[in-house]
Amino acid sequence: MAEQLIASGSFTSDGAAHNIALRSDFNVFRVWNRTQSATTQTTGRGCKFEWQRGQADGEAFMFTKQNSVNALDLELITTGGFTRVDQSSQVLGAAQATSGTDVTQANPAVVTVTAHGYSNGDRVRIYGTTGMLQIAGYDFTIAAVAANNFTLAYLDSSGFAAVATAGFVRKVPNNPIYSPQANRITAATAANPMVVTFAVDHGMAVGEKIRLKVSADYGMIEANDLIGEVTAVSTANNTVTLDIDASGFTAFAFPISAVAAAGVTPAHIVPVGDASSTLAGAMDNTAQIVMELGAGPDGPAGSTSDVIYWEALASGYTLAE
Amino acid sequence: MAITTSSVLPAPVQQSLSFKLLSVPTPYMIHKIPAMLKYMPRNGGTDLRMRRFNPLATATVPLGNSGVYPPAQQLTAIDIDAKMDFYGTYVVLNEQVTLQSQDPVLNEAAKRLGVSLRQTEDELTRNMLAATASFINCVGGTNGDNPTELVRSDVDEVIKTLASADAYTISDSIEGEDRFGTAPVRDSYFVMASTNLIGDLERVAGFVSKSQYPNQDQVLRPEWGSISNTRWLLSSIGSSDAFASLNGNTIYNCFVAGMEAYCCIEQDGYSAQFIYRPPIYDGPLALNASVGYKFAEVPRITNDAWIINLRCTLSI
Repeated sequence: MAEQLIASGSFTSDGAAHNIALRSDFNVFRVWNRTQSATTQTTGRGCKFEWQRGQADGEAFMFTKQNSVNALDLELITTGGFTRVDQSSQVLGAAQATSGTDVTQANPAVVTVTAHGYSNGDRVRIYGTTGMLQIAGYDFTIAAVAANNFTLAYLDSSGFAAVATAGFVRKVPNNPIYSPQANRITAATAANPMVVTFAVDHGMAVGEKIRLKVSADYGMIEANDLIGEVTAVSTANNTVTLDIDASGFTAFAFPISAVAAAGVTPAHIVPVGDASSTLAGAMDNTAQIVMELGAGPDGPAGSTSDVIYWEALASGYTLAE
Repeated sequence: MAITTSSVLPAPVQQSLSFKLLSVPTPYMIHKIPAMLKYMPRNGGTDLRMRRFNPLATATVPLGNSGVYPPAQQLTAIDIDAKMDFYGTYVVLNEQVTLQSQDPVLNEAAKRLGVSLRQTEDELTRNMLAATASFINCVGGTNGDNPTELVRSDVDEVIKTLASADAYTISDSIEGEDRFGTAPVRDSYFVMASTNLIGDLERVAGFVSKSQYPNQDQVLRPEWGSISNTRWLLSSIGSSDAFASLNGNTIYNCFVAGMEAYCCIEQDGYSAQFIYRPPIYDGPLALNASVGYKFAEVPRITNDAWIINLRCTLSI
């Protein structure tokens, strides 16, 4: 059966990997880098990329524009190409060991992993952080990615007793898929109003109600089981402001590494409901099928400011995969 | 004497299909057992809003004889919202499959789709509980991880927390009887967990196997036993988080639920549709049939204080 175009579009690259949500039945995906196609190249540069269902994660057929000639050369790339992602999957990425300074005592904390391949906004799980076991088993949204390290933008580890001297990191696909979700607290102000920082992008909106679960191991025991209404949100800082006067509360602080190793329940929040005028806290399954486009000069998502055109196609039936 | 043997004759047809198909592994679907069932009315929008009023303060001061009214109390409430989502999958069968196969492929496709539908519902509920329930880490064990393996003090902590939040138990007690090896079972919260916990579960102090219940009439098929005021339902698709513990081991989520802690909301008139389209609807040559299901559902915790995710690792 002939292929049918099911979706197409364009975007301007921000230099990072790019996700495009699609119907689940697409079998073919193509990308053209308009900016680089219109540019006289001094070295070979990927301008057109193709993918068919059944290819391994990260693969793509890449057509490179060679020098000043408009002819295209074909090659197969095995990393940094296309990855079809089912966000309902619970399968984590491969383990990568931390190295060098591992996890710093800093605000924000920086994790060193050689050639990690992560992008801004990725969610990772950290464990085995010897010396800094307060964060072992936590998921974090990462930011400020460099080739061999990334920043835990919402974690101030400067007050921890020691750096981590080891550790492992795995990418978390989209786990959990439901929103709003339970989320771990990395900071909470003893102030009026209380401002709470989370380890993972919270996605909350004004009007949602949440319950705080804070054990004595995290200092601010007065906040335990309180229900607060979100009165303001900051996506930049990943915080919410609650209608709770915490000015008389004990300061929030992570337990020391040894206490965490002996067993604690991490401070967290859970969604409770909504104030009467909003549906912001309605439970929803947010899983999607997305095509993840790798970034960079030879990736389908291109470099910063590149204009990218894409199309997804499907055939009526897939005979074999 | 000339005996006709199989080597004399042309080779016989060597395949015969046993028409009794083999059993297909099917997990116990435990996660909707304690759930309330609610319906989203037809033409009622995309979100169902459930409302719970907050308790009023008690009035323990005498009114006296002054004739002066005490201050009135204001009613307050919290809204619990859920957005309906639609799901479905299908199988496409070329007509030659159903025409020529000796096994009843279409019937089997229908059976497999039925199981897929119910398992999808179960996993959606499981995933919602894992994503949104508050949690308590097991800390009483000795395996050196965080959380530790399951021990009695952790079960007691969860029971205390639920009871302190006025969560009602789901099942009534099973009265003791004069039968060898049996023990009474307390009124209980239901726990939904993974079958991988069987060894650790049986080592918890006070564990009573379901075979030791005095009365087997009230035993559920996926039930493994009870500990104190909890009864444990186990499934191979019980919830777990890989590489999530302090040491990077798998964490098992044990959802301890009280009565009316969560619900599954179905779209009225659309809770499950089985759809068969014979080849005549397929195209010019009517080559393919399709069979599938679709349904609309959203699970939601209705009182976050009445369900707790007790997280543990394994002892070995």
